[in-house]
Amino acid sequence: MKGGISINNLSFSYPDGTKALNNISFKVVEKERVAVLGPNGAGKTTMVMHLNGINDIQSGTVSIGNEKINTVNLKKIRKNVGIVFQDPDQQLFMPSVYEDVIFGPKNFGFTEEEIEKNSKEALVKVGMYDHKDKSPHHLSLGQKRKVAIATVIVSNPKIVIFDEPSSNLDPSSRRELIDIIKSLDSTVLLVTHDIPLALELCPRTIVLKEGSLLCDMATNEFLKNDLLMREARVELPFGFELHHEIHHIKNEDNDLLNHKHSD
Amino acid sequence: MSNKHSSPNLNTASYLIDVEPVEKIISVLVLSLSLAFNDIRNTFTFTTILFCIMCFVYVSIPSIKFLIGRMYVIIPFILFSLFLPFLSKSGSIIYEYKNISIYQGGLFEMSNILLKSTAGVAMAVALSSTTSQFDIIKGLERLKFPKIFVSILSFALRYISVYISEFQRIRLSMKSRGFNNKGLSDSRSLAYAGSAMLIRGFERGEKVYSSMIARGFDGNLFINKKKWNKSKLLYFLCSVALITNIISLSL
Repeated sequence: MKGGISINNLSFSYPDGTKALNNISFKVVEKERVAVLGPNGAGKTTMVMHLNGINDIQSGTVSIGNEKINTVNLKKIRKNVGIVFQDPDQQLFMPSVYEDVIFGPKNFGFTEEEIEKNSKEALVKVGMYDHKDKSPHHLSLGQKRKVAIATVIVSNPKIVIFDEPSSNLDPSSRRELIDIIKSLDSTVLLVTHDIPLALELCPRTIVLKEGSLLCDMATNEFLKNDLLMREARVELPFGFELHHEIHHIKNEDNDLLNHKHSD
Repeated sequence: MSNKHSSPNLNTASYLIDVEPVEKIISVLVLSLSLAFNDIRNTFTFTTILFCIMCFVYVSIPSIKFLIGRMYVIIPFILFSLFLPFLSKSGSIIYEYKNISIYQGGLFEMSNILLKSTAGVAMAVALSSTTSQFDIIKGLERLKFPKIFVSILSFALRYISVYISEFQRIRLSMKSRGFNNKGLSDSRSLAYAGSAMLIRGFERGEKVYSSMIARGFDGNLFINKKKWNKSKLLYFLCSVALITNIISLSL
């Protein structure tokens, strides 16, 4: 299975009739990093839940690689699409860090050797190997978030989705998070309100508003468009110098975009 | 790979810490029930079982101080049993002073309650000092307790501290706005806070379930099988208790 995402005319309503998604269509190529922005209630998390098959597809199609999500291939899809949820306490429910990390691989049928090797690699990658025997409740928020990432990357998913990964993190934990995301060799979808984070990590941005796709464009172009930003209820942090930031990351962005186009 | 030595409440020096939790749970049940079904007047059986229990407790706890520090729960039983020689008017009177009499039957009942409750609590302390709470739950799963029951227990244990922290934050925010919980009218606010916690708990439950199925959950929660040791001592103690019981019943 490849790590591309293809969403076509996806619509979704909650049982109470609230329309959360309205004819959304876009594609993400393998190993691309894309930010998903939008105000609260725009449908970002609802959309993300479709990519892993947690929300049933009511209308439209969602494909991961070349496979459309259906009830038959759900396990395969979930193995290849990992979600790091916003609240780590939501993700870490086992008695110890290690047991939480191996929860996914065990369910996905990895062998004991693979589980041992992958769990060690994942915990080392996020810098939490020394905490493997601790209870998740005794960790700081930054540590919990790192473990939550390990619980997902341990299964080597082709796509990793982050839901508000930087919320409530102190600056150094945020920096560590950025380094971890940069080190991933997967397609990354980053749902966030943290504009500098989106700008640093994702050359491309998708903006949702009231369940519809407002725009799909280069992140720096979006952030230069005041009118669009206002419509999306997005603003740069006070004192944030966009031109300098863009200058700093421009080369990295270009490299990444060129790589996608050459694919 | 295990987390069995990570809790500060565990006695890592005890060799029972590496013993299969199921064996310890079964031993506690066998020894407790053996003692419960016997009477102090059946001296040989009672003291033999009590000796087995003392052996189990001795190899489990780091010190007597540790044990006593965790046995406050039996204080009500002790207080209650101290009145029995005066209140339970069974058997002959062995001592009398003015209108106060001490009955032999009451003395036996007092000793029974004192010894049985002390032994029971000591066994519980011994079990919890050599087995983490989660390992006890996993042991229950291996004893074929219903999966749903085991899962509920596990989640309760994992999230109780999360809820306590959350409720403390709510209390703090209430206090910062002048709440001082003095009287019946203030308990209404506490009730609202409690109901808010319940709703949050329900929502959290749904979210946790989402994150579980996102990682392929198919009904099996505990899938990490640790390697445990067997204990000849526990087999021996349980066998002695059972054999003594059988002999006592057959006589």
